[in-house]
Amino acid sequence: MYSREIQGDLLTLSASGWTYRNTFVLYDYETESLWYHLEGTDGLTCISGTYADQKLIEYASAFTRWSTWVAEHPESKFLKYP
Amino acid sequence: MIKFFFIFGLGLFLFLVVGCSSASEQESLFGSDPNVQEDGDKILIIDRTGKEWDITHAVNVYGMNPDDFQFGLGPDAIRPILNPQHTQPGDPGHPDGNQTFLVIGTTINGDTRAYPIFVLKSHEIVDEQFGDTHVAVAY
Repeated sequence: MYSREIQGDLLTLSASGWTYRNTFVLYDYETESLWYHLEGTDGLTCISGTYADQKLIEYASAFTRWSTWVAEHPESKFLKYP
Repeated sequence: MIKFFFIFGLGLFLFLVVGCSSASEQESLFGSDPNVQEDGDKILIIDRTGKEWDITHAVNVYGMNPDDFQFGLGPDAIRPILNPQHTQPGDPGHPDGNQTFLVIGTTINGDTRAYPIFVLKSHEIVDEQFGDTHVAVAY
């Protein structure tokens, strides 16, 4: 879970189609900068492009089962999917 | 978390796509180096759609190896969810609390939501908004 706000601009993040060492390389529609989660660092780092060396901060999230999640968060909304 | 758990699914996809080709061609699809071109001081990788990606900064500053960029399926191969909708408890389609599929869950600005991994696997990203806070749910 990463911010997609930087310097007051809003980014649309997407998969670039590349992986690097088995991790997705992301890019943003607006500038086609490349974003990658560098090992041992927090957030996504812009490894190439307009925002080079800047970071998108990470938000806390849980990776768990729905049954566990909803027991702790009965009010949780759920992504509607086609 | 963007760990590449879906590699098996992708592998299956590629296997089906190239099902008629020889073993050596399949091997090259999985293990081959990307198409790397140097243009003056620039280092470019070219994906399967012909799109060029400038990775000069990634190589020069972060020491990334051009040959370790893999697949290069093109930016339209995995499409993000751009306008996500949600169900609430009591809504039709809202899953029962006894279902055990995996999710990524978060609470931002007091709003709690969960995203099933089986959907994230095929989209990789959900471009989300929690009030004034914009985030990308990534798998």
